[in-house]
This record gives sequence, C-alpha cells and structure tokens, in this order.
Amino acid sequence: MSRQQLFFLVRFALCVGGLVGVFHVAPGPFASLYLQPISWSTASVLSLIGLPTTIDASSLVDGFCVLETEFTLLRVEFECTGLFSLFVYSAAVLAYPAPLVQRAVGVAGGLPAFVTYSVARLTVIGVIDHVIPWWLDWFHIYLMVLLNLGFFLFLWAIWVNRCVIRQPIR
Amino acid sequence: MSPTFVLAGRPGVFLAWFAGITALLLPGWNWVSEPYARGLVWLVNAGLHVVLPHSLHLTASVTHGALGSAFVAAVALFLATPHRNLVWKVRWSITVILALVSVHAALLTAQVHQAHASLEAMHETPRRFVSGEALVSGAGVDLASAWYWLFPLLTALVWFIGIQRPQEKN
Repeated sequence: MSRQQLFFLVRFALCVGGLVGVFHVAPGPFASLYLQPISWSTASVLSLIGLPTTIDASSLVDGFCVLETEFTLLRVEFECTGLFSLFVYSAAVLAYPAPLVQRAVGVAGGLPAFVTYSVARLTVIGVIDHVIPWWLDWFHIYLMVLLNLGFFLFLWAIWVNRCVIRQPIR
Repeated sequence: MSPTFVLAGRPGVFLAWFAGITALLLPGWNWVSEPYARGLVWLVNAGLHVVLPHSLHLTASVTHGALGSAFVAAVALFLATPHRNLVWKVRWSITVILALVSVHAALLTAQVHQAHASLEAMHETPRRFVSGEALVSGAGVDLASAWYWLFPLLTALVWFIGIQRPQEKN
C-alpha cells in the first residue's frame, strides 16, 4: 500500500469520526436542516401521489419526526435519513487526495443526492406500507439499512470518475 | 494525478449488482441471524469474564436484527465489485465479516461495561441483563447505535484496502 493510500484511509476514518463527533455535540442543526426537510418532502410526495400524509415535527428535539398516514404512524429518525451514510460519503470525498475545489463539488453534490435518495426511500416505504404492508419489514431492512452502503460507494465512484480522473461518460 | 482508489467499471452497473445481490442474500440472513446472535452473545460473555470482576451474563439476543443484517450488505459489496475473481471476493468477504463481528462484539462488551459501571455507581450489583433494553437503560447511552456509522466506515475501509491489492491469479 502506498503512502498516499495509507494517508487517505487514516484521513477517511478521522473525517468520519469528526463528523459523527460534531453530530453528537450539536444534533439540533441536523434535525432542523436535514431530518425535518426530508420528512416534510416525503409527506408532500406521499400526499401528491394520493396517500394523504401529515408531518408532526414536535419531537424534532428528540431526534425524530412522525409521518401520519391514513393507517400508520411512521417514525423518521436520523438513521432513516441516511445521515450517517452521508457522513461516510463526505469523509471519503474530503479525505481523497484531490484539489479542494473538486472535493467541495463532491460534498456539495452529495448532499442533494442523499436528500433525494432518502425522500425516495421513505416514499417507497410509505407506499409499501399502504399497498403490501406484510412486506414492510423486509423493505425496511433492505432500503433503510442495506442499500446505503452501495449508494454511498456509487456516488463516490461517480465523483472520482467524473471529477477527479475526468473519465468520459459511458 | 494518479487516482488513489478507483472503482473499475460503471458505478450504475455496480449499484445494480449490489442491489440485486443484497436482495438475494437478505432472505438467507433469516437462517443465519439466530445462530449468529447466539454465537455473538457467547463471545461477549466469554470476554466479560475477563474484563469484569462479576460474573455478568447476557441472556438474550441484544444484537438488533436490522443491524446484524448489515453483514449482508458488506458481503454483497465485495461480490458486486467488478473485475475481481471469485477467490478475491470470497477472501475479502470473510475478512470483512471477521472485522465486523469483532467490532459488533466489542461494542456490546463496551455497552455492558458501561451499564455495569453506571449501575454500580447507583450502588447496585447487576449479575444479569435480560434484554437489550436493560443494557441500554443501564448504560444511559446506546453504544450500539454507533454501529450505524461504524459498519459503513469499517466495511468501506476493508473494501478500499481490498480493491488496491492485485487480484490473485486464477
């Protein structure tokens, strides 16, 4: 392993630790600027596609929002929003030996991508809860826990290919 | 600049493979989850005898099914990695499983240790914990929640190390 690669791995781990540390010290901004907009957007999309959903953000200070559909209360926590995967993605971009501007582009592009991804996942969960509720547990694990890893590396690979080594679109 | 780490192939194809393999492996986790939980609790109990003065025991599964299923995503990541042969995929899948089991066991041990310390501070002498909830309430802080960011961090670290190694000859 080259020295550059070793430095990347160390910086990557430190960046993740730093971001998680910031989150634990001050979760408030993450709740109001990330968790709540995602919950609100999900409620809006679900309502738009014919599943009336209201949002209760009174528990935001405790780290969750409640989405109330016709039949179910969905509790949206930080883990449901892919926040920790966003941290890991941002750390992989920040730690990469690339010019600062390219890293800034990577982080700035990753945020809306993760927000869109999270809203899409929560919307699918809301639809499944309505249409095939007996599949909810399976999809909850699949979409909320497992897919995050692949999505973070997918985004990171796009950033490396397009921004860092400028590979043409295939 | 020569890239430090690169995912060969198209990121979209990688994500599709990852999603498909994860979906195929997830049902299999149901068969493995219980023996895994039993093995992990046995491992933690064995460790507790060394680090704690009292004969403290975990008596129930405290591994959180959704969190344990993260192993599926970790293995799927290596299986979905393009341009690598089967030996590489199996070897690194085993490596990441061993790494994740170690961290999972360490987190649970730390959780019990913290619960024990906080209960002792309240002049109680716990001999047994009967459930994960008892652990969490006893500790005051849910250390196992660290799994949400430790799992992708550790998996990505192992993956980064894996993809920079030359693959074995067939």
